Amino acid sequence: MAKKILEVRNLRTYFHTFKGTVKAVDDVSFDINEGEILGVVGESGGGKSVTGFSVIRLIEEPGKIETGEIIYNGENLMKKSENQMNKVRGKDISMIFQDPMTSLNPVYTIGKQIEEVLLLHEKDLTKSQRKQKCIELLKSVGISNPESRMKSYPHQFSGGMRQRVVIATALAASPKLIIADEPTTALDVTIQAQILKLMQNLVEEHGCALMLITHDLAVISEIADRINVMYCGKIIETGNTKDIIKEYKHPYTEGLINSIPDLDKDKKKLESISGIVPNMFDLPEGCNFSPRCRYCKQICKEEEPELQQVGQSHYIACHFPLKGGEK
Amino acid sequence: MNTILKVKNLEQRFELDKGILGKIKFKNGKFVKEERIVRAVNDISFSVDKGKVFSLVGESGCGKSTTARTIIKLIEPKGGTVEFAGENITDLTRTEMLKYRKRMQMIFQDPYASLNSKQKVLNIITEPMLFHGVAASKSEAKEKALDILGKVGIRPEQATRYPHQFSGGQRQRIGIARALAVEPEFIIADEPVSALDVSIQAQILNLLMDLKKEYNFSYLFIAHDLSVVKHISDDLGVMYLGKIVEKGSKVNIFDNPLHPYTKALFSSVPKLSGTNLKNSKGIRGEIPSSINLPSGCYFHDRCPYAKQICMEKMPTEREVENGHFVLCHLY
Repeated sequence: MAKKILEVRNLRTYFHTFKGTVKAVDDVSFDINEGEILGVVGESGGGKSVTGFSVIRLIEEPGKIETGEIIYNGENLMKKSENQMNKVRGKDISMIFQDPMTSLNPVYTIGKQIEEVLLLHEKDLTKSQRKQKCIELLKSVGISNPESRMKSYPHQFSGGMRQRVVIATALAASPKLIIADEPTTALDVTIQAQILKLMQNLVEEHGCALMLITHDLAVISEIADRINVMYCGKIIETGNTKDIIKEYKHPYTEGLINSIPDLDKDKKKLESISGIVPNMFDLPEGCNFSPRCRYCKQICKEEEPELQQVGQSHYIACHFPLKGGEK
Repeated sequence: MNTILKVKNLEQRFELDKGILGKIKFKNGKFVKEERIVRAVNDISFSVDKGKVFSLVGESGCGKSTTARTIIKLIEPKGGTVEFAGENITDLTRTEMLKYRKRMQMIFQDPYASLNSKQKVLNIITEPMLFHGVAASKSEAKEKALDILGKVGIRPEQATRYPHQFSGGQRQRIGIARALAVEPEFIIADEPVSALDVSIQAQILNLLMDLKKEYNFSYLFIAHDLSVVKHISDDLGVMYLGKIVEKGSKVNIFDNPLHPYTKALFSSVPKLSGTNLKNSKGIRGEIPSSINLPSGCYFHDRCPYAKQICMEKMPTEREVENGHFVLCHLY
């Protein structure tokens, strides 16, 4: 049994606005094991990113983590002060953001930005050791000629190269857990393939865990070990990648998978999910997915389904689990 | 076969240094004249058959959108010819273009930026109708507009709303309805689904195909997502740095990709089966800048099969099998 690096229990992150309360993350529990890649997938507004930000407590007003426990390596992060949290962020848990164009500081060289992480978290390194480490990091993410590239500014890099720099920064203090929020969404497919392979290799080499947040099920099925499917702030299905892709049981997962055109198979017509994601201020009664679900029955409109086990480590929240997945 | 659009040796370039002063640079203690030109579209030819979908696919910066905009003359072509329904429209003036504008319409990528935020949806649809004389009176236009909106899935009572009151997918439907309003024969769709969530993307793709069947449109479809392209097109062209490196029917290209770039592109696509990336070698490097294009074949510095000749000479287009063209020295 692999060791759990992160346990999230009953996490609720709400945003209190003038229009009302948005339950962006509503009673979410999950674990990440050491050396594991956990994929979090769902459409925009599903609460994927907020879940990621909540784990390192980067939620700003009007958002608030209402209840829940975030246990990292046996310690409850919710009990830590802001100062203590700053020691965790970047050191134990680091984050890779979606947009490589905006997540680097344009007025510092990339060498300086990587060095800053080392200055904060690896205090016993000397200046030359830090420089050496920066060069190693840049080399490990596939930037050629790192000695001279260290002195370059972010605008001198292309999008793919910047994302590599962001990954190098995230790796600098050898974190145990990396949260990557849509790391390849802004990139072209050939570059996306390079970055995904790179992240996969790094996870294997460093033995750290990766929480990969994306809207792209295909990306996730390529690299994740386990998948959480989120809809309207809740995990509606969770399990091993193979179970989710091949033997999905939730109608929403089925809809997601069927609406993707597949390179291997010719589909006459895409089976789309009707309707749109509901307004977060005004969620439907009962199951959040019921207005769009084609299997919806009376009980779905009245009672919210609980997560129930349907297979070994395969859980879903639905009153009427599908049988057999792929037809 | 009936062709609706024929593009021959089309070129588009943008000069970065405007005027004579901008072209003078100070280098090694001397003033030299130096021009920087972005060659966005570089001598491309293709044709779209009536009632068919032709797709242009490629990574960002390869000139797909510029090609679309040049064809519809939103930017004046810098070379080559564009023939629409047998007539050369390359050198037409703005006013001469008007009657063709009615026959070819465009759907834009970003549904948040392509609708006038100060107009009601109904007016967005009726304005082109009245302008192009598709409807004789305002009341007739309104009737037609409601009918079209119904086809794309917008209810009549929603027609008096403003664009910001709609979601992204609904806005894209309105953009499609606007293109349909003047009853065109040919539609250019520039990444119409890339800004949308997958479930909405599927809805819009289905809608586009249903409409095609109903009105017998021809499409020029611009996309970067290969699985979407495979789903929707009859023929396609793969673009790299302003060149079409491979073109042919969908079956030709997907079953038998020949150009090393096409192969690399296919092997980079993540798949649900989850085995594509693990087994593929992928492709190294990134797209070079289109300001200083590499010599010889533009792809040679990323190509695993590059030979001496690839660095020196641009290959010429070769027909490898019936209707399947490739731009590579290997063939």
